[in-house]
Parts: sequence; C-alpha cells; structure tokens
Amino acid sequence: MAELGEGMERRKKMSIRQSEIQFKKLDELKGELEMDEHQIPLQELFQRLELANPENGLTNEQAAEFLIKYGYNELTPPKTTPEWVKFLKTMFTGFSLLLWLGAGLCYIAYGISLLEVEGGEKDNLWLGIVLMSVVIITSVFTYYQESKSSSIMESFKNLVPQHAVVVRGGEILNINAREVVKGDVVKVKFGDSIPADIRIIQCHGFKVDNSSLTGESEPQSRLPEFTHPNPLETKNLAFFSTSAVEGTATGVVILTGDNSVMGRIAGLASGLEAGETPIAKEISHFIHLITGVAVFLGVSFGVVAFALGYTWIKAIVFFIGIIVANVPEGLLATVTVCLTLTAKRMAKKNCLVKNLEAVETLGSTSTICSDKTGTLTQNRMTVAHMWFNNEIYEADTTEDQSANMFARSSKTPRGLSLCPIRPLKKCNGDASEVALLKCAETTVGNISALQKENPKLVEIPFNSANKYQVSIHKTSDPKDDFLLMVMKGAPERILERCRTYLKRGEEYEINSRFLDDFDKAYLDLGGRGERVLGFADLKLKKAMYPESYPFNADDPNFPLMGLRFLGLMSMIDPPRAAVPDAVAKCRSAGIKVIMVTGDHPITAHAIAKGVGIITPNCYTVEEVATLRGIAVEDVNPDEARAIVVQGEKLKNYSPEDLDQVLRHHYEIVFARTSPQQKLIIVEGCQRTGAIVAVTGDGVNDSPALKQADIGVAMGIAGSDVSKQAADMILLDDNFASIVMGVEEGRLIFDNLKKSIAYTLTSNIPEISPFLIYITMSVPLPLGVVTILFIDLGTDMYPAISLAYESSELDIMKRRPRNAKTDKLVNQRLISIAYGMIGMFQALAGFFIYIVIMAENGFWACDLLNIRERWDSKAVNSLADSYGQEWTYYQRKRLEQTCHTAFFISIVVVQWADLIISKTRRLSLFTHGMKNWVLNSAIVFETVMAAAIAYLPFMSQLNVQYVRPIYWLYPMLYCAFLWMADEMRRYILRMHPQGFVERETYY
Amino acid sequence: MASAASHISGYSTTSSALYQSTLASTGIQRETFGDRMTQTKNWLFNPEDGTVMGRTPIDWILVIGGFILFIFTLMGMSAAFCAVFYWVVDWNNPTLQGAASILQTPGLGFRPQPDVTTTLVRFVKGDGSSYVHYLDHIEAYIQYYENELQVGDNYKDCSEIRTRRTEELNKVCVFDPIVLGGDCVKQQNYGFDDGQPCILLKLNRIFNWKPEEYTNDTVPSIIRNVWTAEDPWWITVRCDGDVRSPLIVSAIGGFRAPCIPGQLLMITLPSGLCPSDTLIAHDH
Repeated sequence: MAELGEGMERRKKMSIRQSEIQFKKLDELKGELEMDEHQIPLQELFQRLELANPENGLTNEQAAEFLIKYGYNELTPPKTTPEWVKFLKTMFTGFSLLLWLGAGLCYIAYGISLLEVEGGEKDNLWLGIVLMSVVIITSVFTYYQESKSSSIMESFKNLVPQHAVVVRGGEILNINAREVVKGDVVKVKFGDSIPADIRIIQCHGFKVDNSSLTGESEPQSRLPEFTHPNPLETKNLAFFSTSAVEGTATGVVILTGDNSVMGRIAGLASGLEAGETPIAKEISHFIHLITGVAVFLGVSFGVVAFALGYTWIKAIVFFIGIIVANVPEGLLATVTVCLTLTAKRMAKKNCLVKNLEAVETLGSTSTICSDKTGTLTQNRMTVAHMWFNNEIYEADTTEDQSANMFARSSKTPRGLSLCPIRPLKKCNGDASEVALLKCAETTVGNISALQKENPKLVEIPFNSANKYQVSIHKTSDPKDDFLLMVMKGAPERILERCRTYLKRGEEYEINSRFLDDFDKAYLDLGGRGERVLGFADLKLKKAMYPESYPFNADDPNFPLMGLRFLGLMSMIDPPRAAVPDAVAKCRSAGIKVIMVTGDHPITAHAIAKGVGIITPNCYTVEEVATLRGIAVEDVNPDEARAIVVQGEKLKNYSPEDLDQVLRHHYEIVFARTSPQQKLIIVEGCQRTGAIVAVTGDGVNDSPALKQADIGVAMGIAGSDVSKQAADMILLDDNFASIVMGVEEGRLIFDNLKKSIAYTLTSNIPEISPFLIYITMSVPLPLGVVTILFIDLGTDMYPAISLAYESSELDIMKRRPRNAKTDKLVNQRLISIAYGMIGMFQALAGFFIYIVIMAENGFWACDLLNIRERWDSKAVNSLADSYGQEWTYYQRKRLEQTCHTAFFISIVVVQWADLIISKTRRLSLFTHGMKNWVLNSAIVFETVMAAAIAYLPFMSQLNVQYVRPIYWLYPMLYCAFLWMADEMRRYILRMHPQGFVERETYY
Repeated sequence: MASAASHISGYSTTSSALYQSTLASTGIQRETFGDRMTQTKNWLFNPEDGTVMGRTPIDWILVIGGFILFIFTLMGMSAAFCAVFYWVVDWNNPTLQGAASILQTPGLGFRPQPDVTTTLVRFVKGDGSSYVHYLDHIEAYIQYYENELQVGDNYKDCSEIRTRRTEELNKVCVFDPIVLGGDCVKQQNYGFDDGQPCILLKLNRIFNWKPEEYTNDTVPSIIRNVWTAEDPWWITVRCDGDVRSPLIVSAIGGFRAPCIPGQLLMITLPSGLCPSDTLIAHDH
C-alpha cells in the first residue's frame, strides 16, 4: 500500500508541474478584465483594428485574413472527458479503491493457497469475485445517477448568437455569427443578440440586457461615450451574447470568441476543477482509519500466527484474510443508497441535486455567498414607495401584491397613474415601467381602460441626456378645457421644470420648505437603494393647444417648463418573501450569509438590510461614522461588524486583505463585483477554512458556482450556464429551499454516522472468529459465506433505513460542523462500534458456538488445538468428548451449523444495535420507534436470516438447519446490550462533557 | 487528473488553463511530508501536553482500565452463561443423539493412520523402519481388545445374535481379535513384512444409532449378490481402488450390526489383493 501511495504522490507532482505551465493563463483569466479599447479615441481604435473606413467596414479580404489570424468567433469547447474515463473514475475512487484492494488481496491469497492445497481455498476466490461485483454494481449505479449532468460548455454554446449583420466593403451583410472578426462593423437592433464584444460607434435609444453578465436586473442604456474605466460599467461597450432590448446601434467589434468577456467567463468556469467534496474527504478519512485498523490487526495476528508455528505462507494468507475481513463490503452501497435517498427526498422539495456527494455538502456549509438578483430578490422592479402630500407611502412588494395596504384613500394624483406612457401590451419592455404599471393597476384599477380614455397624442421618449419622458394626453372628461401633459424622469430634472406642487389636491408655489422636504424624501428613498422617479403634469389649454395642434416630439413646440410637481415614486427589485426568514434560519444555524452582487452598493446594502443579511443593530464603518458624527477614519473598525465592499476596492485587495475582511466582519456585502471577483471571494472564504455554498443565476456567477464547495443555481430564472456549473438546482428559485437543503444535509451526515456505526459493528463478530481460529486452533466459528450474508444481505436494509431516522435535537440550532474536527467517523465511533457493541455480538456468537459444539458432543476445552485434525479430510473418525466419532463431512456439517447459528446470533444482536444506533444521545423512550422503515428493516433482516437458515436449497451455500431454540440464546445478549447502551447514554446525558461523552459520543 | 489534463489540451491556446487555486499559493498550504512527520512525532509524543498518542498517561490508564473492566464484565457474564450451560448439560451422554444429531449414520474409519493429514499408507517391503510407525499405530489401537480386557459385566458375547438387539443395550459386545486372521497379528507385523499389510476398518462410534436393515425389495443392486435375507444385519463394505494406482483394489467384507452400541471393530485384510510393496488406501 505504501507503494501505491508513492505512485499517487508522484503522479500528483507531475500533474502539478504540468499545470504550472498553464497556470499563468488561468491567472490571466481570473485577473480583472484589462482593456483600453473603450477608453482610447475611436480613431485610434480604428487604426489599431486596421479599419480604414468605419462607414464601409472591413474589406472582405481583411475579414478573411482576420478570420484565419484570430479564428472563428465562437467558444471553443474543452475536450470532454470520454464517458469511459468518467466511468473508470467512479470505479476507482475512494471506497471502491479499498474494495478493489480487498479483491486483489483475495486473489493473491487464493494464488498462495494453490501452492499449499490442491485446488486452493475457493473461499478466497469467491470473496474476491463478490467484492469485485459489489464495486462494479455500485459504480454503475453511481455513474448512472451522475451521468445526467453534461459539460458546461454545451450550455454556453446555446448563448452564442446565430447571425450577425455586418458592414463589409460598404455592403450590409447578414452572416453567420461565427464569422464575425475583430474590426468588423456590426449593426444591432432590439431583439438581437450581440454577436461579439463591440464598442458603440453610434446608437439610437439603445439598451442592452446585461443581467446574465453583471446581475443588473434592468436594461442598461448604451451610448457612444466612454463613461467608466471599468469595461463592465462603461456605457460604450456591449458584450458578446447579451441581448439588445431596445433601439439600434452600430459598433465595431473589439473582442471575439474566447477572448470576449463572456468567453473568458466560459473559459474560467469550464477551466475550474471542482475540488473534493466534504463527504469525499470524510470517506477517505474513514478509509484511512479502517485501513489502519485492518493493517494493525493483520500484521499483529500474522506475526502471532508465525510465532505459533504456522508456515510463513499460512501466516501471509491469514494476514490477508484479516485485512479483507475488515473491509466493510456493504458500506459503499449503503452510503450511495443513503445519499440517493436524500437526493430523492430533496428533489421532491424542489431541490435537485446533480452530484450525489453534494447532498451532504450543504449540511457542512458554513458560509453562503448569495447572489442578490433573482436569488434573494424577485428580479422584477416593483414600486416600493411613493412620496406625495409630503408623506412617504409604502407600496406592497410581496410577490402577489395581494395585500394592498397602501394609502389608496389619500387622493392619488391622476398623473401618477397616467404617466406610464406605454400601453400595457409593451409591458415586457422596461422593468421600471412594468413596475409602475403594476403599481397603478393595483392602486387605481383598470389601467388599459384609463389609457384608452385618455389617448396619447404625442410622446418624447426617455433619453439619457434629458433624463425625462413626456407625453400629452386627451383627457377622458370631454368638458375639460385642457390637454394633460405628464412628465416623469430623474426627480431633480423634473423639479427644476416645476413651478408649483400639488398637496392634498391643492396647488402651491414651490417654496424653500417644499424644496427641503423634497430633498429629504429624495435622499431617504435613494438611501434605501431605490430608483426614484419624479412625476409632474401640466394642463395645456385647449385654446392654445387644440387636439389638432402639430405636436413635435423631436423639437418640442410646447412648454416643458412651469409644470406642477406631483410626487415621487421609487422602485426596487424587492426581496422574496421567504428570504428574510430563511436568512434568519441560516444565521441561527451558524451559517454566515454573504451577499455578492454585481449591483450597486446602495441597492445591495438596502436589500441586505431588507433580508437580514445586515441586521438592524449592525452597522458599517460609514454608518457608525454618520451616527456619531465623526470621520470615517476615526471609527474603530471593531465596532463595525458589517461591511459593504465595492468591487472597485476589492480589485486592490491582496488575498490577505480579503481574509481580514472575511474574518473580522460578520455581515458582509460585496457590491459591484465582477465574475472574477466573485470567484476570488469564494476562494477567500475557502481560505479561511469555510465550506462555501454559492447561489446564483447568471452566467457571471458560473465561475463562483463551480469553485464553491457547492454551487446552487436557480431553476426558473437561472441561465443554463449557471445550472450546468452548479451542483444543485433550486427548482422553485426559493432561497428558503437552501435552508431545507442544509437541514437534510446535516441530517444525512448524522444518519450516515449511525449507518456506519451500525455496519462497522458486525466487523468484530466477523473478524474475531477468524482470530480465535488462528490463535486457538478451534474449528472456524464463522465462515466467509455467512459473513457475506451479513454484510451484503441482512445488514444492508437496516443500515439504509437509518437514513430515514429523524433528527435527535434541533439540528438547525447548532453550528455547522467543523470540517477539521467533526469527522464522519472518528476514533470514538470506532471504539463504540468495535469495542463495545461488537464485543457483545462476538460473545453472543461464541456462546452459541460453544453451546452447539457441546450439545453435539464437543466440549469447548476439547476443541482447543483440534484444528489440524478437524480440517483434515483424511481423518474420518475424530472422537468428540463423548467418544462419538465424526467423519470429515459430519464435522463440516457441524461447523456449518455453527456458522449459521453464529450468523443468526449476529442478526439477533444487530436488532439491539439498530435500536441503539437510532440515537446518539437521547434515550429510546424519548426518541421513540417512529421510523417505520427501520422497524420494517428489523422484520426484514429477521425474515431474511430465517430464509437463509431454513430454505432447503440454501445448504448449497454451506448453511445448515439450526434448531429454533438457538435463536433464543443471543436474545439474552441482545437485551443486555440494549440495557448497557441505554445506561451509557443516560450517563452521557447526565454528565455532559464528562468521561463517557469524551470517550464514547461519536 | 485525467479530466483536468483534457481541459488543458482541449481549450483554445488563448485562454487554455488548468485551474490552480490561490488556496495553494496563499494562506493554507498543502501539507508537506515534513509537516506530516512533525505531526506524527507530535502525536506519538507531545512534550508540551505530555500526551502520548493523543492522551496523557493517566488518560490512557483510565481508558484502557475502563475497557478492560468492561471486557471482563462481559466475559464474566458469558462465562456465567457457559457455566450454567455446562452445569445443565449431561456429561455422559451427548445432548443430541440419534435423529437429532448431525451424525445420523456412522462413518468408516481405519487404522493405521499415524499422520492425520493423509490416508496414504506407504512403506518399503522388508524395510522395517519405513513402517514401524504404522505398526505402532495399529498396536496402540488393538491392545484395547486383548481378551483379558474384555471381561466383566459390561461385556457381552454378540457373535450369535442375528436380529436387532433389544435387551442389555448398555453392554458392549466382545470383539475377539482372532477374527482378524493369522496374518494380522503382532508377531507377523500385521502383514507388513510380506508386503500385504493389514488395514483395520472400523465403524465410527455413534450414540443411539438405530440401523435399518434392507429387505429383499430395498437392497441396492450393488450388494445384492453378497446380501442374504437370512442375515440382514451384515454390513457390507466395498473397497474401491484408486484409479491412479495400477492395482484396482476391490474387496467386500463386513460387520455384524447388532453389536453396534458398543465399541465395534472388524478388520478386513485385503491380502492377496495387494501384490505390490506399496498399498494405497483411500477411504470415503
């Protein structure tokens, strides 16, 4: 085995060396996007791109040349791992490796015995074959479970646009998007996907949906001007595979394919190797322990055997036999089935687990890095507040908006509801307009009717220079002698066009007091992270502006000043209803929830407060400073438990700085983060020893999802890419499902402990007969076949049934397990299973062995050193203690009867073991026997044991009829064992932290 | 690692990468072999806490003491169970006899068999040292049947009984070694000198065995010609030679069944059938 370890070490080293060569490349990917194409003047860019005439675009020759030079504009998929390699991987990892080793040793033992005995000892051969079958069957099962997830790049491919409109050689061509090259001039209109990363040359009302890239819910307007050094924030870039929502634009391609921003994310996400899951680590730790015990027993008894005068060949066969006997044959299957059952249960609760081992990971999670948009929030703008009559009214932001508590009675100005200028059918256009409409619908009522009654005559659309939108309507009341002009837009812009304001139906001149109130309200709403819009109206006298008046929107020929200010409305993407509760549960479960979002810090902070990621009495440095009225620098950093970190700042952080932030703050929000930074934050958390879950829905989250110990994607809102990168998908997009996942994960961890404790126990009654056989030379009390009946037969279902056990204490009130100290299998579990329960079972078995031998004529003392004569086929008349003489076959029948009875006694004592394993601390009387799967398992194993012992054809498998009374003897031990363990647990409860707990609580 | 390698080659040259975690380059380092050695050393003996293998000596004593106490209690309990059981059990007659016993029918044993691992009797004719251990083994067995040892109330002459024994079942039938024949005596070295050794066949002793006699209808064809209805209590023994040896040994002899409850012994001498120096006897 040492050799094996060395080999692996060497291979690891080699692969590390290989990876160093590639290391720089990925580091480059992980680094922030460094580019200046959006900063330099257009002319310089054209020169750099060898674009002679932006009007005519590239010549066809240039295009062809660049295509060869830079390659196609597509995402190169990584070479996928062949299916058979994946299959072999499932077959040769962790537990399976141990069983393979066991099988190999069996064959070696068989080979050695061929030298000794004619025909060899077939038992070893069969055992080897059985072990191999177990591995293969379990691997096929696991492979089948996991094969459903396919490669990440596939889903990225779906994002890639099909066609692009380019200008080449002065002609407008519709070409395949993969042929677009750097320097191409492309034309994009609403509804298109952007074919590559482009810099806008000119545009008209152009808006793009960047949500998959940055997490911003609302469409972003694009302009030819450079506005921000950060490429993701500047307005003059549009990105590969994002979609144009409104308007048209012409741009020049600056990056294509794998080099594009999206391509880099794809490269990052698919380049990341998912690390070992916590449960895989636990299982390898368990294997270390088991191997340690096995080798220790094997070596010591091998030496003893040699000292007792066995030949060295015999000693080696014994050594191998002991090691193999320690292998828990059925445990691999048990663990797999337990995890599958939990995965199924979670799937029923809308939590789809892609990777079986990830089932437990949520339970170990100590930090959740959650994306904001779509995960914590509803991903739709909703009117949250209104300000009019100098009062802030709260709007209903719940998902169904059923509770309409908002002050309808107060006379809502008509303008507020008319202002949403677009008709309803265009609802899907702008998120904020949808929000306004919905709000109006709930407060005023039938909006479409209202709009019909008040037909729109003209409209000035919103543009980023004016920052307002105007429309003129005919009023519904024909007696009105005016047309109504309504305006909405940035509040300060609206206000500066107003002369009067409306308060409780009365119109007042704007005075300084109103301006103060306005500023206060505006700051207040803005400070809540909400997007604030101002509303104003103006009555246009029909005398001056009849309906037939030729209104001109492009060059307004009507007044836009002296309006009447109506009020403010503010919108936010509100948190999902279940989220605050879920966050609170996470917190009480000791899990740190960190928000990582691409959105603005103020919005992020507001939502964080709204959902409880930042709790009310927790302040950031800035808040402390404001509260105390001191400078930010003077605040003692220890007082601020919360922090909002911006991506801009994060960029300059060293890993140590990040660690500082993560270690010293309990409530953290990362805002304005790039996909790369999300990844770095996840790594930072992992560096501090946390087991990190990441939730996200966008493409931008996919690298972080992949890097996380468990990535959780959203099933409805989530992009395909994020779903592929994740280990788990929340089918109902409900963050609260994560809490359920944590609970299930913790439960399965506890229950796996119980399962393993239960299964390991029978190792002692299985090994000890062999050890006694070697050292005392008695007839073998328990045979290989019966051992397999236990491990792969009667023990399986009960062990699995423990997965259905309900939790003992409130598992959501304790802290997440410490991955370093709280092991799945620890020394205490082994000492309880082996040292206590196993001993009971072994003694029960030996007792029945002694009884059967004595009843048939062999007293225990006469069995010592009988082995050579007993096992010799030549001896046909072996005298027992009464002088009866036994032929070889009669002796073997007696021996097999003992094996069967020993087997039955193990099964019987396993009843008690199963009941003991149900609880680790509680008494059976408080916990109850409500697990009906487990109760049926007791019946099942008993029936199965009876079938094995009594079905006629079973004698083919070296099992013999045993007298029914032999079932009673082990029941004595069964009762004593149960009482002993109840007592142990009683002491454990009475003396917490005492000796018994320290030594026996696993 | 295989899949990681495929990522490298598969990805385009511009962005190809194998993920190297910053976890390795900062913060937590991967354990080196030296670290492990130090840890192991510390585990074996930690001078700071005075712990040996993770426990202080007192802790060890407590744990080991507790375990030993537990084991002894458990063993004591089992020993008590055993004591009760042995106290209950009959020391003179096996608890399970006859039909309840696994034995059911007696097997056939033979002498000499000084080596328990083989049934082969192998010697060189005339070379006394090559078969002296066989002689000793036969002698050790046959001395129980010295005539002077078979007297007393416990013995009974069964030679004339031809039916199922119904009375005096607790008495042992006398076995007269004379039936072994003249060559099968110590003076003749049990035929070994002549290369025609005596092999003693014996029916295994079984408590409460009730043999069933064949009738005319049930007698198997294989022994039909040696079986007679007048003497159904004659147990026929058939000896088949080993195919590997050039000589096919086939002999039919027998025992008288009514004598069974006692120590029964009959000897068949396959002399004349075994012309070779080496006799290979297999039994089944």
